[in-house]
Amino acid sequence: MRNGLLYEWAQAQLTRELFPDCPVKYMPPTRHMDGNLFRTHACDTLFNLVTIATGQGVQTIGVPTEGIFTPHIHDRVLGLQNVEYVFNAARDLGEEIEFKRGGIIQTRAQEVLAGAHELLERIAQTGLFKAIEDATFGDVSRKLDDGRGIEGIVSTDPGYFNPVVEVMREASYA
Amino acid sequence: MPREVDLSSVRPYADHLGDGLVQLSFTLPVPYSLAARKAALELAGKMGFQEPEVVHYEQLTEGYTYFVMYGQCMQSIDFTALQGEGFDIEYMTEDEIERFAEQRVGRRIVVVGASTGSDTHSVGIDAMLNLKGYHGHHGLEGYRSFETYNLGSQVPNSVLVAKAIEVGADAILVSQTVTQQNLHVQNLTELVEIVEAEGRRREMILACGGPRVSNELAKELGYDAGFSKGTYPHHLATFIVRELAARVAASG
Repeated sequence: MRNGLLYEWAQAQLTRELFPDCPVKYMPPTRHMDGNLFRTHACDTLFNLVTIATGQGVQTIGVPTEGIFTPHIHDRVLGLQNVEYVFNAARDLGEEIEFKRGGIIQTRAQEVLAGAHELLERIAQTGLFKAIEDATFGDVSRKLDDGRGIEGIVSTDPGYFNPVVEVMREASYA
Repeated sequence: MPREVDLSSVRPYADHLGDGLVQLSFTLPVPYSLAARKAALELAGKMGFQEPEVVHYEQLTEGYTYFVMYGQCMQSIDFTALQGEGFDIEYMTEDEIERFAEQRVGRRIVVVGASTGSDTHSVGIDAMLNLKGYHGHHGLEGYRSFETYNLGSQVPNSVLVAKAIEVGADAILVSQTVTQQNLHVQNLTELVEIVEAEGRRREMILACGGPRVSNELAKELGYDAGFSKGTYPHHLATFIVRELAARVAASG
């Protein structure tokens, strides 16, 4: 996609600026990867560049075979070497950059932000589960009361008690 | 002036016809050393490569060495003997399929699929239909042009057909893996009979797939196409959009 890198950069930078105190998790676009592991490796190089330049907090490292299968030992090392190389070579690039006013990157960031805001307002009207059913996210629809694994969901009696769940509940509010 | 390819004896091509050069890489669980390098060369030789070369090797971690190599493959393939296999259509990419469907069909294509009868194997139909797909290729669920219904496994033929009618399916996909006592043949045949009894055969595209299904068998049983091992979702999608576009054009 023409200027795909600029759009990725815009979104990564936007996310970083919107959540300055969060170690935002940044993930490679595995969904668009396939068996061409050499292309994947090249894409991951640019992904690493965006990661270091926009100061992402946590990164899921891309590996050449991420579009094929669980990585082999050498795929993991190749992925790590790519990260080390790019992070070192472009270490302070992010500090050097000022984005052109009204340019492609700024415009894209503003469009994404406005779109997200509009979407949230819509979801506030219909509710999150309805939004999921309407295939709002990733063009995939999932029903609230049906689907794979439905047989494993049971309703519990008022007297139901699971000690493990209680411990987990406490832990999450700690 | 370049030589012509001898299709009866095809070897890998890197730089000039007949060079047979192959690039390969692999890890050996041995410490990084000259001995490791020798091991890789010997192994490549045993694989049948002539004049193997290690162009790069490195330690991945203690006890594991990674090699990038080249070697000449001395084997060849008679390509002329293979040309009758499977389909003769040019497969399209996901993007091409989406565009083709938009231009030539103009609406969402409804597809219903399942592993039928007593067959519990759903890996195949899931690979074709579910978003996750196979080897990085999305299933039909991931295409804008398709509306998919994966009913899973052990679905009676009658239920599959009923669902297809209910959602106005353009295509029914049947997955059959079990072939004991030709169970798959009986089961596949029954589906065609049910569709015909419902008077829907002409409007629906019927396709079946499985490790022991072939296009020839499928056609014999009354299907429009049969798919076997090595089929990816975009192969199936290419077939469906082309077939549907042809039908739309014929009736329009």
